[in-house]
Amino acid sequence: MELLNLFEGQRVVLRAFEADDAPALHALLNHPALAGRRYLPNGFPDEAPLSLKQVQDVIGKLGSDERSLNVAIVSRSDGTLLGHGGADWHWDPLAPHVHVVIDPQHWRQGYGTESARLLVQYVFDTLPARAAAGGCASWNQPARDFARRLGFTENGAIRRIGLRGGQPFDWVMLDVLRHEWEGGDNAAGR
Amino acid sequence: MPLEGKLVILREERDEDVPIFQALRNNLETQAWPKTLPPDYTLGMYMRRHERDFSLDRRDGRFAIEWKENGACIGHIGYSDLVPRWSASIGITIHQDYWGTGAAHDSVETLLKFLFEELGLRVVRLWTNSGNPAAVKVAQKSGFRISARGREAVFRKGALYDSLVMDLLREEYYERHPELTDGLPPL
Repeated sequence: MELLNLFEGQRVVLRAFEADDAPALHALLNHPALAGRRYLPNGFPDEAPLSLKQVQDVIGKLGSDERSLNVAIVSRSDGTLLGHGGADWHWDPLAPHVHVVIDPQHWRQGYGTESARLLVQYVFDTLPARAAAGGCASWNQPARDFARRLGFTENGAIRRIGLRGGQPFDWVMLDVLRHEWEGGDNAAGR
Repeated sequence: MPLEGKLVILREERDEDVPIFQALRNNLETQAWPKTLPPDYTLGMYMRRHERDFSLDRRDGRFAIEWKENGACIGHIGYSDLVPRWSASIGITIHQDYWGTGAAHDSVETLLKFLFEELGLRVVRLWTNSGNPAAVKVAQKSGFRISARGREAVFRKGALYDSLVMDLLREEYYERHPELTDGLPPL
């Protein structure tokens, strides 16, 4: 049986965060285009500017445990920090939640797709998951399109999850079932 | 002053209620969680959960449900994940002897009145699953609708079900209650 490296793609590597990632992550998370879509642990603001100390605390909290995986997404060629991602099955390993956040400077270059494929594959390879789940704000159309291209289905939206620009918005719930993933384009390239 | 409905009173939990809550937790039919828990909770475990610290900064509320007719504690209802002046999630557990009596509906309505009229929430949510049609029906009777689901995210009683998110917006609540006037302007 071929042993697969679950954390390396053709252009990205998923690795643990190190303390000295803080300055790069600080710059990445404070990019204005990421406001409202940072996917940080509870207790950290999703919109407001983050201090370096807060980002150091984020890294402290992003450590993986037996029910979650949190990783830095870096360029395979030069080690540049491209974003962060993870999977979380604290509630139930039947449907772990997966997320990917890419530095806006590196959008539309395929890094997010490659990272998401690795994380979803990790979930189906290592957990008894029936589905990989995700979610995004209803205003985040690029994320919705991204998820659809990966094979995720939208299953409605939790209404009035928050306020943005003075207007309520919803939280779109997404998932892809194991057999859909295995029958789709994403896993076929393994 | 407790919250009073037509059939039930929602009051603070008391020490003497704890054995009832323990029994409800240890009954797979009434523990209510889609992630089924082992029915092995001891009275001591429940007593420790029961004893909470005083705080003026609360993000939850927990009430015993008292049946007005005989004063019996028949279950509990509460809210959690409170975002002040915005949202909360509710949950309810009722003893099987009181299923079909209107107790669940009256308890939910009584709690909703508190959440919308006193806490000024803009939306109230609950989580259930497609394998619990009774819970869906009770929620729908109060105006909740299924707004989102997670496919095959729940396993219980030997089968897979969808997790369901149901929610009720403030304006929907007041439309259903013409006897009440919403004093909070829309955003």
